[in-house]
Amino acid sequence: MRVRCLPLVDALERDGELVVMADDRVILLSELASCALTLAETSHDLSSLAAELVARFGPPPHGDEISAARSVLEELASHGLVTLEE
Amino acid sequence: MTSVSQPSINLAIEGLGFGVDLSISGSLAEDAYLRVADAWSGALRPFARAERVLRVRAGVGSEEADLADLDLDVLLHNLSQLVTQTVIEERAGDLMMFHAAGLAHPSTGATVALVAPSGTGKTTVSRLLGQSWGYVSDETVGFDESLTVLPYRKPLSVLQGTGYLKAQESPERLGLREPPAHLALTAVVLLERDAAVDTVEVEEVRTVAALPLLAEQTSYLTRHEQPLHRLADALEATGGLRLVRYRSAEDLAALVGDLIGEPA
Repeated sequence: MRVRCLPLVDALERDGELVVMADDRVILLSELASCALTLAETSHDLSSLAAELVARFGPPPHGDEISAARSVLEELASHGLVTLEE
Repeated sequence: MTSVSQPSINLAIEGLGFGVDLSISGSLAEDAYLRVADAWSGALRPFARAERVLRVRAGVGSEEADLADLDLDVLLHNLSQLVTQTVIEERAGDLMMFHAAGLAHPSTGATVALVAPSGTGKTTVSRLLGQSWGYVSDETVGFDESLTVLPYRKPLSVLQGTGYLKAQESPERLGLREPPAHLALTAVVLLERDAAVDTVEVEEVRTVAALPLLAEQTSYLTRHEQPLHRLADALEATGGLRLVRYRSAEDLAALVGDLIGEPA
């Protein structure tokens, strides 16, 4: 799966948390989602992005790292922050 | 039948630093002028040139109008909405504007924005606490990048008798105080009315969590460059957002006193 970031109106970071504005929606992201979105700007491949998340946050509590990363990215996609291409 | 064109009567008002001339025509123009002048006495603008003219027709007439009605109560009600919409649109992208009641210390001009969605107590709070602190607005608190607040001292909508329409009452008639000439945003509060709380509950909200809450109550946020940064700058310069749960307006007096100072 390939990840592509969509343009943001603005983004602001405080202590690892990111709040973003897409169109007229303002969304506060968790630390994990904030990191995934930041990584997605440069790392467009699911497996490399998943590996980077594990390196920073440790292995996911449930399931494998690819499924966990996919879940976070799908959440970001549901807010219109990234697009996912199989 | 030929229509005779009556001269219109002009009234200069100002909201959010934007000048509007009301050009009132129609068979009830004189009555309308007196009522509008009374209701808008807190926002009269004696000198500067108007940036926009709104044509208002009261009663019967043939003049072109942005707003017209045969009933003056309805006219005043709709006029309030039209002026609000006009001044907010005109200042979009320039001022940051919260859906908020604004109260200012009568001598220092320190101003608190009491942010709340429509219908959740802004006018009630303004009517009560504006008798002690200066009434800045019961609708919109607008401020520029230096945090200078531009007042919008519109009439307040007051339920009277059994009428279905609220009356438009001037701040003066309701005994509300005038703020000083220079107003500076000092505190931002998000109000949440809650019948279940016994005492006022104040929660300090960190900036990233405050922005989505405040964005919902900000007019034309997307018209600003880097809107989140601008909101965050304003919040962080004024001590951060305070989420306040309260039961009734009088319970907020002590908090407002803490934030902008007790009035003399």
